[in-house]
Amino acid sequence: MAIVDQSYQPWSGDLQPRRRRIGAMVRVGIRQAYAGLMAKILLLSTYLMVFGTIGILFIASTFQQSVAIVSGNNIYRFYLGSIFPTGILIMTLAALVGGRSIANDLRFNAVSMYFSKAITRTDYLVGKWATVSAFLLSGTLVPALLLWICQWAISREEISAGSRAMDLLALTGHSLVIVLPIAMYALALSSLSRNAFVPGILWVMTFFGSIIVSGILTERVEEDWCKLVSWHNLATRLGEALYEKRVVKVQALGSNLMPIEGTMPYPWYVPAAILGGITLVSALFVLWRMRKFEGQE
Amino acid sequence: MNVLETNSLSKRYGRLAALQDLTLTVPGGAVGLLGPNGAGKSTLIKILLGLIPATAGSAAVFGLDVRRFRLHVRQQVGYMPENESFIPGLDAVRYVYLAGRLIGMPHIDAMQRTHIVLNYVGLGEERYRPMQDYSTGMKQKVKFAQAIVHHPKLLLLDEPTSGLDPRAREEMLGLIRDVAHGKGIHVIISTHILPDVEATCDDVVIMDRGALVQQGPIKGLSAGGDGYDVRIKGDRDAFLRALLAHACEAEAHEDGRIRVRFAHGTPGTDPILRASVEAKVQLRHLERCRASLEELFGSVLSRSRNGS
Repeated sequence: MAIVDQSYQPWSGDLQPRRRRIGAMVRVGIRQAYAGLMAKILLLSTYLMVFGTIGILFIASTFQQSVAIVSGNNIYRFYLGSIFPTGILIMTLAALVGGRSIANDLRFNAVSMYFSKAITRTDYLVGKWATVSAFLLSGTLVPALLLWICQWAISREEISAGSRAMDLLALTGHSLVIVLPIAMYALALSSLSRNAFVPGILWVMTFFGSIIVSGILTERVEEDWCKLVSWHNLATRLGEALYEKRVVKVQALGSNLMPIEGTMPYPWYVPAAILGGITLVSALFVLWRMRKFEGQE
Repeated sequence: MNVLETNSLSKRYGRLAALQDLTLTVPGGAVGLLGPNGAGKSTLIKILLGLIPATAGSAAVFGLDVRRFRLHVRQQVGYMPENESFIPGLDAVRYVYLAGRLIGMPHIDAMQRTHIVLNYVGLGEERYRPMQDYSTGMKQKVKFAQAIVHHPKLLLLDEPTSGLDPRAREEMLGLIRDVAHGKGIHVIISTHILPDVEATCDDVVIMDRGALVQQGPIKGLSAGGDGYDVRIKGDRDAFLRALLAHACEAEAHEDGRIRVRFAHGTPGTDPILRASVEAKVQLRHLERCRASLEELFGSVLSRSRNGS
């Protein structure tokens, strides 16, 4: 034993509450998610696309051209409701980050570190959900916010500050409607395997599969419920319900750019119940899986 | 207050009883948890950490019931798992920092402590490299560092030297010794490597088939066995025959040592002295035999199994 040892001193201090512990987990998780090269490339290309669109719209506005998409709350509705780029982007990011989130913890036995610390299974789930959701929001909410600022700056529509604030809330809600169920579902798939590719592939199959099956059913069966099979339709229908309906007071050109609306005859609570159900079942599934893995190494 | 107390603790996996009515008290210090595979060591550790519930009985760490105060217990305990454990893409600094934050340490404290413990375990600039590139020895050091980042009151080490080369093993044993005897942290080591326990622990708990077989100080258990170690000069065979005639069991070792045990009780050195006289051999060395932990472990287990 050393006579003098200043290299190691005992630590004593106040421990922080659970929300801080979850917050730390989320921060480290997000930093790790952004470290991936593929994720960086995808996000960068999306931002380039958004900035390109903003640039074009700015040029159009300097020539006194009023484009339909800049009117009302179209521009971010269109962005968030589109299969390309948003749908594909979120699907890919969820496959990349959500898919490996728990799978890597299982594969490299990080769960034994997590669960030997002062967090519960629910804390772990909330932390992972928040991590994946926050990361996915950088592909939905952040570009939508940029477009909202753009719309404010260059739209010639006369609307109140209250309506603009409502739009801001609506696009935030729309982003969450897209992101939260996907993040939880991706986590559920991620808890299935120690191989990070398997959940990613399963998620891509779910997303594309639901769109394809919905399309085929709609054509063959020709019933309204067939549209409910598509994940993208559900999120879009629910997101659309959040926006304020108002009459555009400017003469707009290019009205064919208006986003899809009213494509699904069901009220908003039907897709809300379906997406909510998927999220809840996914959460319970992850908790059940983690209960199995918690005591294992 | 005792570091660890269990009372009639049982754990069943279906028909298999992993722990059977285990009543154990560990007052503190450095304790080796020994037992063959399936003895219930890992199950006991998992119950103590609140990772799995006990089927019956109770367990408490520092007086805190592990079921009711699971998170509080974990805040006072550091755990080093047996298997490789890391988060791909994270370096050692982020990993140990995260471990500190998950315990509840504030940001600045966690970062300071991360560097202190990484220095302490001897991880230099490598700490900034992703952990997946580390050698086994470095990964073990990081696992050790994350377990002590918050200066726990109790450190649970599951096979801490498994897979290490001799030098890395010595370093790890040195750290364990220092933490246990110089830093005021109680340590429980679950291992199959008995010399590791001898090198680091003061007390030992031997388990078999989910039950407690023996517990006590290593010195007390291994010293003063029920026999003598003898070295002679002269006719060895004649001496062995003479010992046999005095109801002694003699076991000749290759290094020239003869271990003498008595079939009935421990009558002292008299039979050995008589045998040496009768065999006309010169007695060069005589001492109470000091069983190694390995011998003790073997005999305790065989006694336990024969008795059951």
